[in-house]
Amino acid sequence: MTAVLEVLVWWAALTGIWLVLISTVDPLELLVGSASALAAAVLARAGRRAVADR
Amino acid sequence: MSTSDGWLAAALVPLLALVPVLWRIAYGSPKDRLIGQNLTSLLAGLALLLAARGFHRTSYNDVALVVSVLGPTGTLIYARFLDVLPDSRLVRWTALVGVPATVLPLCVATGPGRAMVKLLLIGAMLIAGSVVTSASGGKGGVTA
Repeated sequence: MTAVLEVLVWWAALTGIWLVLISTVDPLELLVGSASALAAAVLARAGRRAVADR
Repeated sequence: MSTSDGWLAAALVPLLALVPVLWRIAYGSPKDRLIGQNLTSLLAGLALLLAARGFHRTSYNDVALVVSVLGPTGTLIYARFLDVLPDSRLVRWTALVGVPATVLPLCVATGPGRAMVKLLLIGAMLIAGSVVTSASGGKGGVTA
């Protein structure tokens, strides 16, 4: 449950950053951004755990 | 003098500050060079943000964003090689004073919107990167 929550928080933050940094907001950008943010969110959690468990 | 010239004149401040820093990078001790490398990316980021406004080229902001990410990363990599992360008040205070002094006027000039959030994000990245890389590494950090 915490895993899903953490990935969700990462995803929301990363999608937000994506939306701020792109030049024009349109549906395709939103789709690509939210999809890549999900992948990045999973990696971010994996990275954080790798550092925290050290 | 137009407003653009004003921003470009302001961009000269971090740009000219690079001269003594590059001098130290060329002739300093390894620790000084590492601090200089750190300071170079910070000053370059600030110069790029001001130049973006002065030249009306918002894409320069993207370069500043990349510098704000890769600059501290580079410093950490070299710190790994040298086995020390030099404690530098100069870098920390340049970031804590220079970044708000640059980003806040730019935000006022830009006005509310996504562009302003982007500027604040770049500013936060510059400050965070500098603070992390200027803190004492615990292994005999030096202060410059």
